[in-house]
Amino acid sequence: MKIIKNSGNGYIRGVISSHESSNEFIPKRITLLDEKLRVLAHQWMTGQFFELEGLKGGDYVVRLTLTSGVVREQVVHVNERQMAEVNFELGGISPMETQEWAYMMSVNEEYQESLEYYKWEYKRLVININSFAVIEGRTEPNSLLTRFNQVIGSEGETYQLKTEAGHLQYLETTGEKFPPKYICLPPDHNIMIVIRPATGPEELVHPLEVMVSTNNWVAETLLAMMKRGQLKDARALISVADAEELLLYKRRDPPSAAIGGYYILKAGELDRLHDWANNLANWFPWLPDGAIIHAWQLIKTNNHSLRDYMKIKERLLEAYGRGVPVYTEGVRLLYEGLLQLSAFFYRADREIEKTLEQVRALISLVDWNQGITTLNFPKPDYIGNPTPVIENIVSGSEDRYRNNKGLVAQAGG
Amino acid sequence: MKEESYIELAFDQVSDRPQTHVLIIGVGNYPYLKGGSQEEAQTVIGLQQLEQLTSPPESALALFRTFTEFEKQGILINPLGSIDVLISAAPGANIPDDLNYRAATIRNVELAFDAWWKRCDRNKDNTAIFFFCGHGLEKGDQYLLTEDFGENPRNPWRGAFAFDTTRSAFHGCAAQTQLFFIDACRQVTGGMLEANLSGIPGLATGSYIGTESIYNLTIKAAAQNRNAYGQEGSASYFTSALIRGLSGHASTSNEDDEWIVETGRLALLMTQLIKLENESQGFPQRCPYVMGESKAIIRLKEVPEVILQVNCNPDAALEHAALSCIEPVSRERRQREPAGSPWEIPLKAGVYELQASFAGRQYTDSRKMTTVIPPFKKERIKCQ
Repeated sequence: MKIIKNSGNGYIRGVISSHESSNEFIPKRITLLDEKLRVLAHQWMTGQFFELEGLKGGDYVVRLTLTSGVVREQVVHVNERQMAEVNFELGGISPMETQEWAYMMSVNEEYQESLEYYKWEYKRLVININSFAVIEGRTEPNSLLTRFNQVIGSEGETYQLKTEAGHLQYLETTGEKFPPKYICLPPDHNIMIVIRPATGPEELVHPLEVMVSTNNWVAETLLAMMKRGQLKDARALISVADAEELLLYKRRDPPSAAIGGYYILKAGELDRLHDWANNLANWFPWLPDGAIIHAWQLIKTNNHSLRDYMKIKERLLEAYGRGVPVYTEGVRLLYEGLLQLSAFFYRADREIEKTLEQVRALISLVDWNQGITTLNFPKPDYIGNPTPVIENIVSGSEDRYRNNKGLVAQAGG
Repeated sequence: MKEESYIELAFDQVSDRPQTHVLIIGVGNYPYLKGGSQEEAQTVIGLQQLEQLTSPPESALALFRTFTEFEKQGILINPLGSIDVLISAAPGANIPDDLNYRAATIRNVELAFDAWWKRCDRNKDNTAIFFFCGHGLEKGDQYLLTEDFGENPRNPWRGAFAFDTTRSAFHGCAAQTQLFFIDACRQVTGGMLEANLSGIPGLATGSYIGTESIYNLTIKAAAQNRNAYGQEGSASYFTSALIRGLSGHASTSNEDDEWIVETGRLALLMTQLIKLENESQGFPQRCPYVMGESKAIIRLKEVPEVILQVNCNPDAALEHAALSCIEPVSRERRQREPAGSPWEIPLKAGVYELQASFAGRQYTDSRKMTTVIPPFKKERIKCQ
């Protein structure tokens, strides 16, 4: 990466060092500021090296911002016609090399605070880990990741797995002393997982923190930027046209296509969705997010006809029938869409009202700080008896499945 | 206090230009709840514990003063168009005589919300700000309790409104910048678990299908099923943190040599800002937020002040270190003789040179350049 300023002839050469060379591909943001902290230039970069050229002599601040929110700054003095060096050593950012990606990527404000406020205390949790799939409305255990009495120390544990294609999958973590936690796993992806004790105060945050990511770093970064409202930064990372490409390649990577769709919706560039949201909804009948994105494309289009309202309703009920959206933004849009429909139909549509009530139960469990849908069970009532509860939520009753099947057939036709 | 149906704004310079319109609601006086002047025996399980509050009126007043001060300073990017204030405070509360406000009854809140919506609707570039401080409960939706909550113990909910429904409906307002700050608890009571509360209406339900406002932000003072906190007779921690953030602690510099407060950064920093209000409380409050695109709402006239805390690495070196902090352009120097506790210096945001020097040879004289950026900075000088 090169940033050229035409005001002088000094320059800065920067190196970003990390343990894992593959983490060089994680997008990072470099900002150049002057001694008054005026922003002179900023740019996303991947790779290990960057150069900032054309600088007058003086003091500068080089800021490295990671997707996780971690910020590193170095003050550097530049002389005319000379090179100054900055070196950002990210090796110490995580307790284990295999977890480096998580500390670069995960939107985790608690961690930020822990650096300032908490002294690391040794924590140790004993947990069970299971994974299961939702196939034709039933939850079925799969063997992606199963551990019993797994000891999780302060530094956490790392796992890698390959999710199956064609259906929703979830990770379940349970333990004797805390309520269960469920995390959606994007299908057909190489998934990286870090599980560690949470850094927040006990009894306020769930004691277990689970970070999940695919290795589509651009899509994952986009997801994090959206969560933080940093659409301006996101636009600098990925043009709406690039997001279009994420959608274009939906056959290969439907979860990342969904992220592209959410981004285009948020950026308000509805034309860019073309008919692809409809296709995403139709071609992947197991993915709730596609139906939600298509519903919202219709919602955001002006001049609705009654036929549009019925299609929006169909898509949102269909989405709910498919299961829990893979991404938190999908859960939010499902809820907001149903609220709007409920108001439009004067709370008189029984299907909408029933689904809205069920989605209210779902959103009460959602951890809104996560990009991938994560369900925390805050009430101790659920301890030791999670399965019936989660089955209702992720796969629903027979009614829900029948409803979904009918709608899928319609959409497929 | 004014008659219920008569709306006289606390600040009124409404025009059709892009403006900031603020609705502030602070409910501390609940006459029908425990300790109230007309206390009713509440029959719904859990509501018996709801008591009188002293912090919400103070929070409402503090926020009112903040926005009028911002207007005086001319730092709101959209100048102030209106502030409507609804306060329910215990008799004898210290409310200024010259403040136009009304009691925060459900009827007044409904009228005020409707009028605020209309003011915000006048220009799509308006900034709409809604603030509520008082009792709140949550089951599916968050229910905010007005002064007359509990008047009829068989149906206490007539004095409440569904906030999430209200917020969702407000996307139908033309104003594209919509900020909601909810300083209330989110706990569920035993009685609520048994009851079907879906019939509790919002202040608006919005019979529309439409887009979300682009620059929307909702910050709640408490995580789900948790409480929001404050000290008796003072503005709450959340409100104080919000004011602190808006006043510059959530500001960033930009390419135009300005220090601006953006909604996104405010949201990200709220939990951290609460800690600055009271580090000793163990910071049990978490502030979840939902937002659209971030938007600059305040442009400061001056570079913000930040607290820099300087320590040594190792800690033991601190009591032997003579510390200096130098502004590199003016070379203005501040100094401190060796002392046992970290050095806290209020500074204008910027770049500074830190120095530690020692009389003996146990530690090494050191210098370090550092940035000092809101909301605060902690720096350690390596001395060994």
